[in-house]
Amino acid sequence: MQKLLFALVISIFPFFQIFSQSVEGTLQFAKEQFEAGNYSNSVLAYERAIYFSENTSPDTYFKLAEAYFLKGNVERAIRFYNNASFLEQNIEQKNEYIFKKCLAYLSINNYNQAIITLGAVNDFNNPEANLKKQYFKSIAYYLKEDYDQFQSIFDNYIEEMDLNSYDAYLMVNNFNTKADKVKPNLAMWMSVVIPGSGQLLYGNWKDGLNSMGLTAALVGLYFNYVVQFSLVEGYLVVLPWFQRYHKGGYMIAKETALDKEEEYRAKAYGQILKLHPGLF
Amino acid sequence: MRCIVLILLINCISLNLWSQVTEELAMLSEIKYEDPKTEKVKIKDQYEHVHENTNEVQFLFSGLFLFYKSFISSQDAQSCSFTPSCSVYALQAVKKQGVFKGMLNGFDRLSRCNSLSPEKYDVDPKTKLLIDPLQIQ
Repeated sequence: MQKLLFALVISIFPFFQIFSQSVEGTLQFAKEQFEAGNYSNSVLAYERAIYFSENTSPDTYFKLAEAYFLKGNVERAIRFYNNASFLEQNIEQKNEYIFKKCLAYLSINNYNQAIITLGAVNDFNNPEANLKKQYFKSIAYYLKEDYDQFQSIFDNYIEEMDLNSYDAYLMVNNFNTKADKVKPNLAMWMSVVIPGSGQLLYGNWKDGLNSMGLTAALVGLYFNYVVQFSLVEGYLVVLPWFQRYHKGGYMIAKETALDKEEEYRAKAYGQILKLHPGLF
Repeated sequence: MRCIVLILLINCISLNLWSQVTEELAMLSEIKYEDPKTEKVKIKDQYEHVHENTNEVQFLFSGLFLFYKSFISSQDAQSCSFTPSCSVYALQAVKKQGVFKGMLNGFDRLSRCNSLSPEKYDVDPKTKLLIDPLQIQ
């Protein structure tokens, strides 16, 4: 009976060999799915290949991280970028994985972790990695809205790259100076005193004139009530409306100034991107 | 021959580096700031129902609604507790239930617009306003 069973198992065994998927086959399938844009399938296949392989290469971890990133699961992508950078022996490649991890942190607005991640970049005797590290660090500080830190690191980067005379750099400084000059509180207080003036200060003509007209109409209505009826009547009827639209006006003035500041910062950021070290 | 192979190799490497840079820049440009060229949605395009008028009265009231939204409500600080706001809700109610029932529904909504019982509504995580859409089939 045992012999018969043994013979049966041996005879079935080759079929398992034929139909089971090898790790290489799974990796190939994962790669095809990734290239076809089916990131969910690609992730599953890479996870499966990693589970069954004894020694996973850093490249496989990196591809899995990329698939997770493109699938939208950034936290999981960061975990596998980490694995890839930890296992990688080639310094250049390791640095690239770290930069990818930094980008992943930036994409989820975790700027502090992005800055911490850049600390792992090996830039000893490697000026290219050092420049890229400085560039990414300056971007992280800029997005974090720590403009003093940004300026010192970015100026250093520009000096080392010798880009002082580039239009993009001059425009970064120009837009940032303009953004620094925007005063949201000044706009708000101007609108408190003269409704609409804060909006006009930062070029929001529609809301400025609208606020001016509306509050003037309410003041006119108040005097109409005072003349026609009494002072108390005027206060009771018009004051709640005046308070409501007056407050709305100065809040809009502050928002207008903040929008203007963000507009300048966005323009400066667009110019910063033109100074990527890979473009020179 | 060696020269050609070398040039091809250099081209391949630079093409690969260029695509990597482009990819990085595309990712960085999407992180925080909106494209400054993106135009704001006009008020009349924010409310689809104002364009679905079937008679002159509806046309008139839709016009008044747009005037209110453009020149009066736009100057107001956030004062309504709900999303959609009471004016939008009332207009939708009038359009769906007719003038009498719609106005009653609108007044009912105004009487509830006081944030005294927020536990009865879900909260919109983005605007932190209470969610209370018109629920008429």
